[in-house]
Amino acid sequence: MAYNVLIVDDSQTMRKVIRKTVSISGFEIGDCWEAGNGQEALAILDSCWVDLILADLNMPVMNGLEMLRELKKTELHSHIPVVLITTEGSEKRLEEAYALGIKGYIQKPFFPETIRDVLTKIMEEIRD
Amino acid sequence: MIDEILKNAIVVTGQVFETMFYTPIAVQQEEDELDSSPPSVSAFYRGEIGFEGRYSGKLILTIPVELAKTMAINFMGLEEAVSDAQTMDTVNELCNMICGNIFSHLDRKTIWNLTLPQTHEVSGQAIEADHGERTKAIRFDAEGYAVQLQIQLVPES
Repeated sequence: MAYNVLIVDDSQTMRKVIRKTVSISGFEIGDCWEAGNGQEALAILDSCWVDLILADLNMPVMNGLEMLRELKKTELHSHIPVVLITTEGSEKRLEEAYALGIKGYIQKPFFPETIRDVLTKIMEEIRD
Repeated sequence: MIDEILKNAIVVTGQVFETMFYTPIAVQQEEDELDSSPPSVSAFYRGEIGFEGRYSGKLILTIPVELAKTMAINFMGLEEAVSDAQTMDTVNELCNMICGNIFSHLDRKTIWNLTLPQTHEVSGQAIEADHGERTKAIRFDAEGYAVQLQIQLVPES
């Protein structure tokens, strides 16, 4: 089954790497959109159907935690699973992110298999 | 304190270079020439990222442009040449990953705030690092190129 994915990261290079890594990992992508910060991501969500959001935390304009808070406010978007792909490793930040509803996180740097395993598990849990 | 950071930096730099950039890297041995890069190397990228938490300062990564371009190609899995913008963005990501992992491995209980990394080109003369109680640098060898990682701590107020 193919999933529509939104990748949110201020680095254009990293967005391409994530997109490519997710594809080669075996996780099936349908449509894929990219955003450079949380604000751009919210604008995309207003007009596109997204099954999964992969987001960084540290971004200008609107960071990952701010984006998560906005997503929670909107019934239409609050159900979309979010997985963080970030260098962030502090317990408090991750606790805050989980409290805001993320389904998982992957720390950079990552292997393709890690992405595949985390995303597959999360999407299977949601389907069930 | 800074020695502890550097110990982490050695491990983390190796992991980052090898996992996502497919570039083996090792600490340069003291007996090696300080500048082991090929003689043709005269241009470097200098990436900087600030950190703030239990202590504050910045991490500076200096890397030959030629090596950075190869790593950008590896990173993005491309077969064609990369642009300067893509290469500098790759150096930004290197700084981000190395810095983020050094401090989260050092102390997961502290919230570490990182600035957005910035990269610009510098000449060979600019890579010489200061050394002191609050500033230290390590040199690595990556595929025959010298890469320098420097940590500068800000005095506690």
